[in-house]
Amino acid sequence: MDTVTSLFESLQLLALSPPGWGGNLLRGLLHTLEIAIGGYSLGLAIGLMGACGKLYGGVVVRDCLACYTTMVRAVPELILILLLYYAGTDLINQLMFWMGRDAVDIDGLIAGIFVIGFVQGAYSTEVIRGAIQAIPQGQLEAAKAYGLSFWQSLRKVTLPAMLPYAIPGLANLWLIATKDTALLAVVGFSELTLETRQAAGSTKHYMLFYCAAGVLYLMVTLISNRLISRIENWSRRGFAKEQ
Amino acid sequence: MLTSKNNNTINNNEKPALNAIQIRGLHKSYGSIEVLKGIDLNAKKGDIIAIIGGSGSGKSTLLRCINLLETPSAGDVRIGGETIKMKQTSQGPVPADKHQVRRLRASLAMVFQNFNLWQHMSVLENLIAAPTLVHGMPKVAAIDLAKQLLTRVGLSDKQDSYPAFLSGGQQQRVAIARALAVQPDVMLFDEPTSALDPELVGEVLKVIEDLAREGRTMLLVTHEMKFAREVANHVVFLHQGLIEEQGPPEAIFDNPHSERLKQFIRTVQ
Repeated sequence: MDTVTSLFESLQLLALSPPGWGGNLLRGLLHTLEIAIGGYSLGLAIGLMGACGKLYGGVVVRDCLACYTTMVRAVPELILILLLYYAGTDLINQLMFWMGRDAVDIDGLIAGIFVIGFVQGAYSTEVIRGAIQAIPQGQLEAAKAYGLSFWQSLRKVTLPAMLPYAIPGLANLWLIATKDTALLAVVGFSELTLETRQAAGSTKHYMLFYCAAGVLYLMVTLISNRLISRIENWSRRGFAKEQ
Repeated sequence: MLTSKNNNTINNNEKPALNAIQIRGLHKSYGSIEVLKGIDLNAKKGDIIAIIGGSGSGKSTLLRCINLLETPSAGDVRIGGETIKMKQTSQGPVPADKHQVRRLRASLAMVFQNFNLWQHMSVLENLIAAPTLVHGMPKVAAIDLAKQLLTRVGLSDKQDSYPAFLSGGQQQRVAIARALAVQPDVMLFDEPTSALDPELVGEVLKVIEDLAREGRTMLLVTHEMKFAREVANHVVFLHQGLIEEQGPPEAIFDNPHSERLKQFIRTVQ
């Protein structure tokens, strides 16, 4: 009887309104998703441009991109986040000072999106570059032979044709993005992990809150997987089903 | 050096517009390997030229130099009387004007050995892509034309299928319809039946034969000697990057002069 009551009491701590901490966790989850979606989108944009730059760009562009992807992928993400967050805001403020303006407060959300996007961009670049190279050459040749311009060919042939090869890699990156947001806890951004730590610390119910956070992350992954497999099926519409 | 030669050709030719394709002194090398060693070839409007030869003779390369899928190392290519402008770079010659290249490519249509249909587009989308994007045809008109062409190649029921779900012969017929959809001045066929199972070759050859009867200008690289003989009005035999012998099909197949052509005809028959 005792254990049932105590279990019930601790579950009450997850209630959405105070004194329950559920609302805080959900708010953290919302922030996590905001950063993940924003950072991932930014990363995709960087990745698309990066892949095109690596494949079609001149020597300077290719070298710069090689530097970017190598460095970002070589340095631990935690260090990158600390570096970009603190050094980045510092740099902007110095720039502001230089231009004779007042120091600005960098919005945590924007900074988070930028940091995650910058890291994701390096990985996306490589995923998309590989996918473009996996397109059967003949399809690009046909686009050329029929007089499509570079941009038409990119938009109508290269990008849609590379999708089936890119989606498994890009789906991985999305799942990584949702979890990389947890690293932003170290710079004090109140996403799911930090909210959880605060809730657990204040109530001493570590097990309960960390398990709850784990369940929330798991839900994000499960729902993502459903969506990804639908997108993947759509992108593979031109592929004969494997027997 | 080749421009002066080219100017002579213009002066000597009363009606250059009648020449659909003119090739002068065409060379193509990959590194130190010379694949084409100086080809001169004329295709008048309505000509159906079959290019035959053993593997490695350079016949596909020749075809691919016409629409600049390969960049010629020397010599010039004239399409509809217009010379493709080239410029010299440290990596060899490259096309000087990419707008000209696009414009000239738009007047040609190529049918590839491996079909090269766009896999992510349905059959209908494959057919309307170039007409709408490159030729500025309104989408409705392009769809109309595409449907007519599909009926023509006997695939009207396949317009919503994706290429991978069709047989090789069906895919190649779609590819021919795609080529017709741009209403080309010249059609280039690069071994259109070589990737097909033997029982599917017939259906594709029949479609090409029908086109030939319409008086379309065609350049056809093929291994089908019987077909070349029936369809072409001019046969070119390529050997090691040079035209070894050319002439009307009867002369080439019944009365070959060069020893190599005789040998080639013996081996393929």
